Amino acid sequence: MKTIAIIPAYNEERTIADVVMEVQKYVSEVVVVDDGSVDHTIEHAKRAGAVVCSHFLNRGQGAALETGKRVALLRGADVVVTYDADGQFVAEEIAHVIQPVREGRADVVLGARFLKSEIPPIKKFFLRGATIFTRMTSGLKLSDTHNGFRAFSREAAKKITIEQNRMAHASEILEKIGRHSLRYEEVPVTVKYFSPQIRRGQRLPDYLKILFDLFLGKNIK
Amino acid sequence: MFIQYLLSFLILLIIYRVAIKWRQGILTSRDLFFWIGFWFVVGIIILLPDTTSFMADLVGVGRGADLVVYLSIVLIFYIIFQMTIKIEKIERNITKVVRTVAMKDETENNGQQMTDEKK
Repeated sequence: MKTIAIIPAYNEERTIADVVMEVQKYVSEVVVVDDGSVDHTIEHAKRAGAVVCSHFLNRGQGAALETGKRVALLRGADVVVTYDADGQFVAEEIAHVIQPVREGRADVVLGARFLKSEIPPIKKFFLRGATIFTRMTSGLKLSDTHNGFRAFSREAAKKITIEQNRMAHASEILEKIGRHSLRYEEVPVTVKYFSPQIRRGQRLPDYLKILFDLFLGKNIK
Repeated sequence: MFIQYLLSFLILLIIYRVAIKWRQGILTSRDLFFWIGFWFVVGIIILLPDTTSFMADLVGVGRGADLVVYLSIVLIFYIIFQMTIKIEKIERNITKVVRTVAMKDETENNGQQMTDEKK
């Protein structure tokens, strides 16, 4: 079975090479989608041995993931893993995340951080809010909804087209899992929070922006 | 009053411009009717301000001028909403272009085009 990891990266020259080299140990290929970086992300990723695709303009994480997904499918992936470029995940856990897909038990596996990680309390509050929102809109019962660590079977990856360019893609993926009645499973994953990096994630205005983007998405024909 | 003549003249000018744009094919017939209708209503309000008081009484708003302001705000919000949707649509189209360029090598090597890209 061919497993391909997709890593969207935007100005991640400090971490990308290490992340690619770590991830490579557990998958067949690593595809880095450079999202219009202005630093040396592309060179670092290439040197580390990744297949690199480059957006010439910054289009957002959702757009980069969709590009990566298409490249992975073209390269014949049976399992597609999405992974973050900033080094917050533990590459060893890829094995656990892809297992339900490999065994045919699930079409999509979603990483869940609450079971394993120490999360700052404010962050926890907003992530909980997102959980309730997801339960209402997509009918999926999840403990964590905005986690970049996921695995898709080839069929599931074909069905889920990400149209949201920015951060709302996470909610969009969940909604499409529900719409296509795909079998999903949550697997506990570790998310490392380094103090300067806590601010890397989403904050209140970002969550409002996500809601607005989702609302807009509903109104585009 | 002078202001009424001035504004009426401006409206005629605007309608003339709209008609030209329609003839050049920039506006569709639907747009033409909408804008002529819109400016026609504005013209009536300017020349016969009392009509708004009549309308205001009908819907229960104090003064005609207030009704005009309320309706304008609703209209402006609607236009902003439409524009935001249009911008988002353009954003998504830009993404399609950027993605096609990013994937050029991959699609050539694999000799196939993803069909949904053509939508």
